[in-house]
Amino acid sequence: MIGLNHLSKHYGDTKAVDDVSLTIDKGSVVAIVGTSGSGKSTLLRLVNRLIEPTSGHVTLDGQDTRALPAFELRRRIGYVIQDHGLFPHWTVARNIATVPRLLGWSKARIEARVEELLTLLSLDPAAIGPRFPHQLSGGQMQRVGVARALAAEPELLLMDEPFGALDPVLRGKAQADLRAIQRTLGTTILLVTHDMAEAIALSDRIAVMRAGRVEQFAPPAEILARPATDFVRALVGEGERAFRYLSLTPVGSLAEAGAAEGAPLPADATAAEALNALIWRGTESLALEGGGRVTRSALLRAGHP
Amino acid sequence: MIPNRLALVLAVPLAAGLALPFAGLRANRIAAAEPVWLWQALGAPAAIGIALLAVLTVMWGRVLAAPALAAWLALMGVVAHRLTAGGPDFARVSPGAGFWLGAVALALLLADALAQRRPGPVARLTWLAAAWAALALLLQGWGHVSILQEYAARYMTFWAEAQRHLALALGSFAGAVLVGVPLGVLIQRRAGWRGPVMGTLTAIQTVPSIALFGLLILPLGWLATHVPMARAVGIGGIGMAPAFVALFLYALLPIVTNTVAGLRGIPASVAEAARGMGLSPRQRLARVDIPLALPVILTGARIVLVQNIGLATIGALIGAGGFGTFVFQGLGQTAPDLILLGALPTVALAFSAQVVFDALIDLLPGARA
Amino acid sequence: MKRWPAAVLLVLVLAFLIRPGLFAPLLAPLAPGGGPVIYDRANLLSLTLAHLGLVAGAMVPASLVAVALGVFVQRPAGAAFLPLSRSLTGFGQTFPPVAVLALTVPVLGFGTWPTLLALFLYGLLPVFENTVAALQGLPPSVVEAARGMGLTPRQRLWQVELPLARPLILDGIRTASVISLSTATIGSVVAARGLGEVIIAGLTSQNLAFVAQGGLLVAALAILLAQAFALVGDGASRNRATPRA
Repeated sequence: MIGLNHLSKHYGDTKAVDDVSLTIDKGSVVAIVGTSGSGKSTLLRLVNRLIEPTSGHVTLDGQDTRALPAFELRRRIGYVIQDHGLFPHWTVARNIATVPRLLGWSKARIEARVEELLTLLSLDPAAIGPRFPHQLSGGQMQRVGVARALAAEPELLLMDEPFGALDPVLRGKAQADLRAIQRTLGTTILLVTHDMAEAIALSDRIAVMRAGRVEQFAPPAEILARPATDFVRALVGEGERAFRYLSLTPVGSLAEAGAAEGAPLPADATAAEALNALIWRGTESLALEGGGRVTRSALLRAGHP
Repeated sequence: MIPNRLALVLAVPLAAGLALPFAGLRANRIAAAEPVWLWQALGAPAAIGIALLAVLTVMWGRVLAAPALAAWLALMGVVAHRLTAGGPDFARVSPGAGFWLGAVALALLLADALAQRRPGPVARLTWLAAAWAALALLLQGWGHVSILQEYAARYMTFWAEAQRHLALALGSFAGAVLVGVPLGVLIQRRAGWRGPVMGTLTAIQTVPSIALFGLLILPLGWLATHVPMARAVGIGGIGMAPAFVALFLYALLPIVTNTVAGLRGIPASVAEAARGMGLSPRQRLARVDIPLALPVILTGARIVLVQNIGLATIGALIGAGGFGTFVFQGLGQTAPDLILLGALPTVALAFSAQVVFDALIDLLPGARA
Repeated sequence: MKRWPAAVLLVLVLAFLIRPGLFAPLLAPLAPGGGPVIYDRANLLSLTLAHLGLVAGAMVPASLVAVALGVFVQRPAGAAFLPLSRSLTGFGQTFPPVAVLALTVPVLGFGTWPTLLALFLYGLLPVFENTVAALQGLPPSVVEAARGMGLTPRQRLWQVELPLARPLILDGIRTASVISLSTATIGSVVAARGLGEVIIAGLTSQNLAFVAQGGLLVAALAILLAQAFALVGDGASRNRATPRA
């Protein structure tokens, strides 16, 4: 469990982060969402002490992180940034080995870990490992950045706009991959994004920040259903609220017995995808893989709390 | 007020400046110098007063650096006057290690105060003019300091050499700009010529200056003996001509390089727009390309002017005159004052050229803020 | 870049230094009638070695000091010195080399030391300037990543910042060394041993063969030195291009 306790960062009269407290459960994904200048990146950097807080502190499994030297703390926390920040003079393998080497792992253990991570991120260890960063595509660099941050089995992974530099197609793929990896490894993730859709797609809880303060900290469904303030409402976007809500629901949960025309939909598709298919095909119900169907009225009912 | 780290570090040479001999007194021009400390020349109370002022200067360096430096220079004049009063005419007072250390410390303090303020181009030109005026004024009081005595002994030649120095530096500079800019434009357009031209100019740079000056003696000497016209316009094997040509050749590379870089730096969209709007190639060059490349070209010109002012000193070795004459005479006679008489004006000139040119570049419309 | 012209030049220089007599017919037209064609007051090879020694003796400490200073002014402890050191390097380069040399003579007397000091001071500037530029020009995301991964300041400097700054620093050292090679010839005016001796002797005795052999030798050394740096630099940056975001 990670605790942010009354964290504040003031620059003169400006309160970049103002008395923020959050609790992040082990193995969960929390997204911090806000407009630029809301203090979300500053908050993230207070956690690994790239910025020292004016007041407040962070606990890692109950331990006050101020008790550790900053560099030791950072070796226990993975860090992914938008421009990936790969070291251009080192190979991919050497980049991934950065923290394990700092921690003095044995050579064999490091090699095994690098290979494991590259495979996990669907990169070919033999082909990609010896390459230099400038020989990779944007999507590959981003994945290597994630692999490097995960290398020393960190207790927490911090991600600052991790997919910001990717095009929409790659971004969707990267988000799906991240979710899969997170489920496999059970890593706790604190992620900063300005994109509410990304936050809804990835996280278990969302913290909405504005002017240094957290306006609401709740699961995505609740953020959509009961936005605490006008700002949160505006950020969710009233025009797309129903579709975002539908995107949280797997279509399988709406299934009922019966049959329908047309190609069956995978059961783990979202209700939003199902509604889209339904409108496009102009039918009243859709078949699901593995049997059963979902009706229009069930989908429409699921579009609001 | 708490002085910053830099002022505290500079306090060390300043203190050393107070503690080391301030001046050297020599019975005549070539005798060995006897060290004179500040308190010996002015008495203990005055020396203590000066030390207190130095402490204040370190505390409020941002404000006091300029007046303190002026006062320090004036002090040298006063000390020289006191030491020579009533003594024999040929006694010499030269600045000692203490004076130089103190002057350097104060000058650094002043440079830092100015750097912190980030003055604009007009302010920098004003400061430069003020510095020259202050220097002219202060040197009036240096009549009894050895450097000024060397100057007094040969002030006619001094100004003649100054003229030659400037003629050499500025003339070759102007020539290099007139040839270098068109050459740059040309090789920017004909990619095939770029390699050979740049290669030749780079190779010239590797020949040490004294050798290049010397090597030009031969072809120019030949020209003088075989072409009557050449001799008539003053081209000869030794003297100004080889020095002029050498400086000109050294100056070409920075100008050509920067012209090419400046033209290359023009955004493709701007060049495209100029073509799209129907400007002829000549109009494009005169109205778009050159004005946009001007800051970079002028930076090359500044490098060259500063370099030429310094290199012109070498011309003295082959009889071209200039401030180098005093430097090499001084080296030959082991007369430090004479060396300084040649070196200090050269440094001051090069420094001023840099300030003036930098300010001009900043004053260009649309220049970097 | 093609390497054979430099290799040919190297062979020519070595041949000239070992058997200068072979080149006498080429230089003879430059010598005054009956005068010596090849400089005979000292061995050219030993003068060349002395010349290179002078440059190395100044440039090695100058590079170390300048890089250390460049690193220092970008640490919190040295930040107060950054504005001044930048304006000093700007204006330091307006100091003519002859003036630097001439001004050190009153302090150190004639001989090797004033030349060494002048070359040292003059060598500091380009190296310092490039070190500062290189460290300031590092991609912010890389520096941020290095901090975020828990490298200590010392590890960041040695493992990330200096290796990435290396090409530009080497470039500064190359520039400074080539200038220094040429400036060292002026050192002979104050009686430092080096190839300037040959040129000065030629100028004073009106023997252009001396001027040519001294001058061209220094020029060839400068070209070879620049090539040697390019070779080292290639090795350093073979697998690296500037990262593009």
